This record gives sequence, C-alpha cells and structure tokens, in this order.
Amino acid sequence: MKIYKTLVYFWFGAQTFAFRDLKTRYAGSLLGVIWIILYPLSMATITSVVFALAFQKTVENVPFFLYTLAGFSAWIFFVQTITSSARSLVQNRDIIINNNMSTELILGGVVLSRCVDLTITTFFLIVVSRIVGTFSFNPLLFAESVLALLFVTCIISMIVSAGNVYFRDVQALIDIFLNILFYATPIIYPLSAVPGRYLWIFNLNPLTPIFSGFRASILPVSFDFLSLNWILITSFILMIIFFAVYKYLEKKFAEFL
Amino acid sequence: MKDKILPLIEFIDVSKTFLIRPTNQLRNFLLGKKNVPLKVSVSRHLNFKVKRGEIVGLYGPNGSGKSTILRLAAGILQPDFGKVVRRGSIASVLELGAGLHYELTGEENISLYATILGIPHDEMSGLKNKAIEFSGIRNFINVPLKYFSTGMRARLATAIALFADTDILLLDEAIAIGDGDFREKFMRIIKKIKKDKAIIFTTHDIGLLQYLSDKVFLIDHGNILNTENEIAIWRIQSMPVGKIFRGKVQSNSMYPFLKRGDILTILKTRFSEIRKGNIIAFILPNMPQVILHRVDDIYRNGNNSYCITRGDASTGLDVWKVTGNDYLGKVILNSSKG
Repeated sequence: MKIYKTLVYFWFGAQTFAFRDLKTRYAGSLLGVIWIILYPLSMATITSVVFALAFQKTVENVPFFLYTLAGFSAWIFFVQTITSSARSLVQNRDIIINNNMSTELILGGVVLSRCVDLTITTFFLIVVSRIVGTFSFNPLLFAESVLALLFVTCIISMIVSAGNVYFRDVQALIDIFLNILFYATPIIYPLSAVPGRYLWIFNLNPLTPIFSGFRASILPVSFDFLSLNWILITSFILMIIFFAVYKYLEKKFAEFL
Repeated sequence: MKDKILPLIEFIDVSKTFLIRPTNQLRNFLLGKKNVPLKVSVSRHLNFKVKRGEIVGLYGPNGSGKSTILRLAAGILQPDFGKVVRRGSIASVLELGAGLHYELTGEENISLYATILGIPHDEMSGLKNKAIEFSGIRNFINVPLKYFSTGMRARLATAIALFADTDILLLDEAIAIGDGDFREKFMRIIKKIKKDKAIIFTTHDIGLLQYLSDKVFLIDHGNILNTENEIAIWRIQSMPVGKIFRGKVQSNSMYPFLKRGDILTILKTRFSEIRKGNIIAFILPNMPQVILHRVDDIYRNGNNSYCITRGDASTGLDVWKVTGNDYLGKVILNSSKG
C-alpha cells in the first residue's frame, strides 16, 4: 500500500514538475510548442540535403529524410533529457536546500516533459511516413525500443545530475560525451554504411539496437530483435541499482549545492 | 497514542560542521598549494525534543545557527555527529518563495509547492481552497506569480505550509513579510493548528516569540543556551554600551554588599572605564556563570590591559585576573531582596 501511495505521489509530482518545465520552456516564445517539431525537422532536412548530395537518397527503399527524421526524433529526446537533467538539480538549488523533498521528482519532471516532445515528434513522424507511404508499424518493437530508450536515458540522467552537484565539470563533459555518442550511434546513417573494422564500436554501444529498433518499429527497415531484449532487461536492472545510488548521494545534495 | 508521548522531533547530541572549499582549487593545485577546506562549526551537541502540540521559538542573532537547526530538523542537512529523530511528515518554509515559480499562476504554484512539501494529490484541492482563502489572493489566482507583490508571494507560501496536513511545521522568519492583518491571522491560525503539530519557528520579533512559544531556545554560535546563566551572559554580551541588565544574585561572593537573591543591575561599559573599587561582572573561559568581584588593581597596557579582582567575602585565594574579553559590565546598584 505504501509503495502504491509513493508511486502515485511520484507520478503526480513528476507531472507537476513536467508542467512547470513545459510552461516555462516556451514562455515568451512566438512559435511555442511548434519548436518541438521544428527542431528535429530542421536537423533531418539539413542532414538529408547534405547526405543526398554526397551519398544516397534512400535506405532500404525508405527516403533518407524519413530515415534521419526517425533517428533525430529519438536522439533529440535523449540529448535534451540528459543535458536538462545535468543542470536540473543545480538550477533547482533553492528548492533543494530549503525543502526535504524527493529530488527524483525534479528529474522525473524533466524526463516526462521531454516524453511529451517525443510523443509529438513520433506522431509527426508517423503522419509524414503515412503520407509518403512507408509507414510500417510494429507495436511490440515500438514499446520495447521506447522503454529501453527511457531506461537508458533515466540511468544517464541520474548519473549526470548527481555528478554535477558534486563536480560542475560534469555539465561541460556531458556535451563532449554526447557529441562522440552521436557519431557512434546509427542516427544519420545505417549500420550497413559503417566500415566492417569499426562495427565493433556500434555493437558495443547500447544505443545502437535502441535507435535501430525505434526506427524499424515505424519504418520498413531490417532489425535484429534479440540484442534489444537484452538491453531492455539490463537497463531496467541498472536503473534500479543507480536509483539506490542516487538516493544515497541525495543526502548530501543540500550541502554541495 | 504512541505519538502523544513520543516527541515528533528529537535532537540527540547533534553537531554539524560545514566544510567551505577554496574557490580556486585548480589554481592552488597548479601553484602547489594545499586545498584545505575551512571548517565552520554551526551546531554543537544539540539536545532537545518537541512534542505534538508544542511550539518552540528559536531566537538569536543572524548567523547564530537557527536556520541550520531548522534544516537539520527538516532532514535537508545530515548531522556529522548525533541523531535527529523525526516521527511524522514535515512542512517547512525556510526561505519565503523558494519553490514558487514566476511564470506559473497562483493556483499552479499551490500545486507545485504542495508537491515539494510532499502533499499527496488527493489532498490538493482542499489545501488549495484553504490556502487561497487564507492568503487573500482569490482575485489573483489565475495570474502569473511575477505580477504578485513580495507580500502576496510570502502569504501564499506561508499559507500552503500552514494548511498542509503534516505533523511537523518549520518556519524560518515566516512572518518577516506581511501586513498587520496577515500577522494577526497568522498568529490565530498557529494557535489553532498547534494541537495537531510540533512547530519550530525562528524570529527576531520578541513579542511574537513570547506570544506563540511554549519554549524559547536562545541560539548563539550553534549552541542552545539552556541555563539561566548562559542566557544572562548572552544577553549582557549582546547589549550595546550604556544599556543595563537586571538579574538575581546567585552566590555570596560579594557578601555583605550583595547577598544571594538580591536584585542587581549591570551597566554595560567599556573595559577602559572601570576604576579601582568598582564591582564588576565578568566570565571565565569554559565557566558559564556571571562572576561578581571588586576591582583591586588595574594594569593598563593597551589591548593587554587587565585588572585584579576579588570577592568581598573571599579569602586571599579567590583572586582573578580579568581582561577586556572576559569583562561584562559594571554593577551600579543593588536593592534589597525582591
């Protein structure tokens, strides 16, 4: 009963913080929530124009624009959640040093508000792929890849947000780390375009099956299901372990902030 | 029944030290200097209990450690030594407006602040109504907080904490902002809700302290001055020159001039103003007691000046060397037992 009450409190609390994040993020903005679609759309357009000139126009008969749009939809969720999380506890210093609150609510709010973005961009992706005629939906693969993406994002968010409380270098380091990760993950190119001697890097990267799975759940491209299952189970277990570590570190947040 | 007997907040020998790290750690490292953090002791061996239905007021100068005690009570800070036992849920207003957001409306801010205080979702609507009513912001409830005055923001934050259904309420300078009407409403509501809660609050307002508190703790340099003597010493030390302090004589060291139980008056003067034959009040290191002696001799040498004193009733062994640091004030008159 206590666990149920805690979960209900967390769910509504994270919603409150997500609402605050969403409302303040676009306060004073002319285009408002349209930016949620505009950002991945512009990235996908720029990339596909550049790549179409140099490389190919389709991947497994899917237009390159849609291929990269799918990649960017998930990638932007991943990057923005992690960069916002890294700064979130420091930005909410006033709340943390004056209230004995569960700080995971702040992180939950960040993740949840970015989930709203992901929902909107995914919906946009589905609409565009239907119009183009390349829509091929696999609900199980979609659920699995989104859950795995969520778990991995939560793990990294907990590490960087707590780490940034103790060492502010983390928020600078995370930008470099994400830059490297961007090129080590098949977002703007298919795995088939990666030279064989570099494939081991992509195979070691847990984001590879997640991003490939997300794309394959909406577009008709090939995908290996097995590795995603492992990532899903492992990331769930790791998320619980890292949550326990986060709660331990949380006790000293007020002193370091 | 159990929580009627057990205190809701219990400090057991609690001490807290802050480590202030050097700001230029990399430069120090490159220059081969050690990065030694500065240790500041903010709470020392605190022991107290607050039961349900009790209001404790913390009083002391700025920087004395009052807010640290509230943060330790809230569980925001962890003690280095000792233990803080909390038996119940906590609402705290330690900095007015911390947690409220300028872009959100009054109503949205109530939800946000109540979430921060740990209020479950199903209690939210009742709390909203009470907080709106009490803070008197009904006409502004759908207006962004950035258009609220400082007083309105303070009223809103205080109202949410007051009406949150928690066992423990911690208020730091909660009534520092707000007009006379709000102050009256605040005092009335505190009296009303006190039977269900353990309340600790800080204030610089002696009147409020006396009106609301069941117990007052004087806080100085992270210590609770518990005994009458400690409180008397603290009061005399904090007085400006020219002010007087009245107290009761507790020993016969100045018999027959002053007897135990006599009322005496101590005038705060500069150490340089004392003369041979004066009766002075002073303290000795590690001895929380006001000592009264007559000045036998004075040696003036700038900062190293001192005087030799003895009690009228004493033998030759009771002679003290008193410096400006130990000196409290001059005894100016005495009256008979009061």
